[in-house]
Amino acid sequence: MNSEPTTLLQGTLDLLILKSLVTGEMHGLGVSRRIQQITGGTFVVKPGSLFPALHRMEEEGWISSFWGDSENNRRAKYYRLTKAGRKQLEVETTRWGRISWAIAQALEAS
Amino acid sequence: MPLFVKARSFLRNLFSTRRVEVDLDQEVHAHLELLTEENMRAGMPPKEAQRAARIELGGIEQVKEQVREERIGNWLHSVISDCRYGIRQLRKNPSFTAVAVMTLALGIGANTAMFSMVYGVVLRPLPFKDAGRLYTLWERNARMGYEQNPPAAGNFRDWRDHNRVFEQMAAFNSTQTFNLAGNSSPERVDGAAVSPELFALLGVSPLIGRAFSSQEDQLGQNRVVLLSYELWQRRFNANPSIVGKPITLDGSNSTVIGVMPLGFHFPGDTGTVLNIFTAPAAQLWVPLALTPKAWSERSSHYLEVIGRLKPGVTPSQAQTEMNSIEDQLVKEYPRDYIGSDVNLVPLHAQVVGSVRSVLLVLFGAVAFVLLIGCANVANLLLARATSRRREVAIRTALGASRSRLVRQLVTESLALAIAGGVLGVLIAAWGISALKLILPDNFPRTADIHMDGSALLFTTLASVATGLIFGLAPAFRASSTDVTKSLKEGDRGTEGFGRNRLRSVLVISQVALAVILLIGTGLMLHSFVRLLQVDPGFKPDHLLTMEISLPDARYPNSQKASFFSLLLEHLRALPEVQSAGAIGHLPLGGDIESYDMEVEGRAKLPNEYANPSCHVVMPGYFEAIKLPLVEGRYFGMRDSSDSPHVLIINDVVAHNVFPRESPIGKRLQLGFNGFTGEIVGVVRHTSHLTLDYAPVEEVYMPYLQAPFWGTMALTIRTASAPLALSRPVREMILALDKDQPVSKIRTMDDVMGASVAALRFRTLLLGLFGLAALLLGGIGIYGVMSYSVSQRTREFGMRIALGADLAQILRLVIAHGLKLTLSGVLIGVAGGLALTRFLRSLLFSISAADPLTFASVALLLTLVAMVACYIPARRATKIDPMIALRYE
Repeated sequence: MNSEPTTLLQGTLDLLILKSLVTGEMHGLGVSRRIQQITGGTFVVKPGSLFPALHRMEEEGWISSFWGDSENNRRAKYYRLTKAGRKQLEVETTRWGRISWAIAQALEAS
Repeated sequence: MPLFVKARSFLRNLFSTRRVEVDLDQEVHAHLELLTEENMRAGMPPKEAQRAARIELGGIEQVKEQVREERIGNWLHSVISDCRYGIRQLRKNPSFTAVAVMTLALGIGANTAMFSMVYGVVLRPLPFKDAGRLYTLWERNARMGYEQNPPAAGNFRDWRDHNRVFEQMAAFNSTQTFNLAGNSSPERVDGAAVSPELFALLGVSPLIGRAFSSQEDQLGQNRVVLLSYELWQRRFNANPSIVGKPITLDGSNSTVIGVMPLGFHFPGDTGTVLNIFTAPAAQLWVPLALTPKAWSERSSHYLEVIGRLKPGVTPSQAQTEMNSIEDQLVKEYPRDYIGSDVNLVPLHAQVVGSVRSVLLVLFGAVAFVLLIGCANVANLLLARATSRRREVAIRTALGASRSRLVRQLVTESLALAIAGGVLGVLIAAWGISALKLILPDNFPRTADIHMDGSALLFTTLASVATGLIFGLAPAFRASSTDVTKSLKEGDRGTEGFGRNRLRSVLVISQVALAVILLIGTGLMLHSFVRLLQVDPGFKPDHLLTMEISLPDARYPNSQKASFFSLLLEHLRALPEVQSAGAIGHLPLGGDIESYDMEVEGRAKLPNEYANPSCHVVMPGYFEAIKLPLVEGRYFGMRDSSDSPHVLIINDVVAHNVFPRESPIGKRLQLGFNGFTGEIVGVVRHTSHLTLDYAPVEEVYMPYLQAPFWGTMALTIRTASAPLALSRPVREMILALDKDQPVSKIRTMDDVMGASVAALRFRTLLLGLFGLAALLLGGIGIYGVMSYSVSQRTREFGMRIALGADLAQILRLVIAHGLKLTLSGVLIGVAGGLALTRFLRSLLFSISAADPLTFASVALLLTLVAMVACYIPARRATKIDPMIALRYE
């Protein structure tokens, strides 16, 4: 596995978390695995980065949390996108699009 | 962005800490279980699955700590918990805490007290309207060495009437004292005669009643008086109906027209003229009413002048204008003694000029003491950090980041510093009252020295700065602990080279600071001793002095002389009195009056020789103070008003004016009411102004022949303790005149003491600070050496076991201490050379780089360091090798 959470750009982790929650509520491990899955295993988010980010985003009001039961009837804390979170996802997506386009342009330039 | 969500989170983080924490704990644990489950589903055995899950999680506590650091309001939360933790830590170590807090409290307290002084005296604006535009004006005569000569009345009038740069100009005579008689006992009260426009110029109006009108400086209309608030309270029971009523002033009636506000004592607190004369705080004011003859006077200099610059006029413009007026005067009155130019001094500089540098030096010194104290506390903290390495290591292992640890340790230091600051405020309040007790009488603005908001703000800032100064370095050191090593070694462990180096740096800088401070103290002390060794020319022991001022209204000039003759005759009859006399201005009393002088029948004297200070004396004065006769004779009762006028000069006049001839029999003509007389004697010069002033020309006239003023100081030489005689003498005076007050009853030793009070004050304070620096420095060296010995217990044990004798061990420890000390001494001496030049203006007859002082300070500190090293060194020699080798 190649994991490089430390090289994640500032704000990228937020974007990935928001994106992974679009399909529905999820607990921490779920978010982590979902990110791994949708990035083709490029990013493995360790709990040491994941939880601070989740808590920060909850305080920002982008996601909300509740306790629920996991698929195996274990208690787990679930996160879901709020309205503000969806809006934030749009903002971040646009921003990211701009950045990646700009970087691509820069790299293609001779 | 939903702001209320954030606010809610903030409040929840702050107040429902427990719930938030439980929630976090459950979440992380749930996550761990989910991971384990996942691993087991992937086919791992349960134990393996759990281990792998833990590895992936990376430590429950670390994750939790990382989440905590991200929380809104985390800083506030961590500050609170750091404080709580810090205070708990400090309470667990009461002796460490007590030593540190006391050191800091003394340092911060002393600094706050000095700050209050600097702020009250130097920084606080003067309590007058737009005080920045107020200037005092003086005649300067560079050739004669006068910077601030009060102008003569005629010159002041021309200044005032001809200038276009000052909005207003007022004159005052600050040397007036009044006999206040009435229902209660008679007393002498300091006051001032002032131009009517003075109060408007300062922008101060009476509390009740009115100020002087512009006609009240005309003779005949001038019997009006303004009272100070304090005099009104004390003498007139704060009765407002006193306004409009007459009081008895100098034997005649004056009408009270008003009371000035509390604290107004102008020209008191207008500073020191020529470093000699300080106006006393005025208790009452009368109009300055002069006769036409007095207004035309050009050589008699006694009026002080203050002016308010017009808006938009620069000081240099004013200077040019005033100088051109003065030039005109010099041309117009070539025979008069007029300054070569006008000296404009901002009022603030006039008031605080002489003490500004003293206060700044003392403030610097006390800051040094605090820094030395900081070094001690930093050393204590370093020692403690070593014993807390295990704690730090555990906290690191549990996920505390380095910045988090530094923050925690600095919070602890700040808690120490703030505790020191709180205690320091109490010490400062006490210190300020103590300072006021030892302040010289003529120190300006003493009423403005007190603790106030700005002093408290200073204390707060000083405490925080102190906490950071002594806390940051040890905190960074402590937080850089290697976790595994510390946990393995436990609490004791040897410490790294780096930490020892920090310790050495602290001790070296401490010693350097102490050396600089002590050099300053030493120079000041030397100056003081040398000043006390100056021979005043007379014998001050066993001399009782007191002042009597006969009012003109009741004593015409002829009767003044007979009053004093009669009084002295009675005094000499007392068995304890050996001799008795009287003089107009006591030597070293700080007063001086100069008049011009010519030798009859000779060419005009060069200006620098033509202005002796003049005294009137009663027969018996020279004998009483034991001023030696060089030639001729003293005055006697035969030199009465109807016998030929005679004079006595001092050896300076003899040397300047009659260099190759005997002055006896020559006749001098003085500007002192035109007094002319024959020289009958030459006496030694005295230090008439202050001890550090070069001898000046002095001429003495018999009071019997020149009774032109009413105030005389008695000088009574007694066989026993002088003050015991003050009561019989007083009774004798009241028997002659029951309304006659007596003032300034002092011994001549006290008069001399008062004349050196300013230097004594700064010597005493610097001495105290120097002593504190020496003590703290010694403690610092002792602390570091004891610590080093305990760290090297094993090494010393080994050395002893291998046959090192005790002298070798002793030498080893002391050599280490000396190396540190000598480095500090060297830096301190270099710093001293750079800094003592700021002291130069405060020193007397000693160079700011006096090698003897530098050498003795270096030696003193080295000796103290040796003593401080000796105690731990002794301990090193007593180490039992068996125990030491087992010592981990």
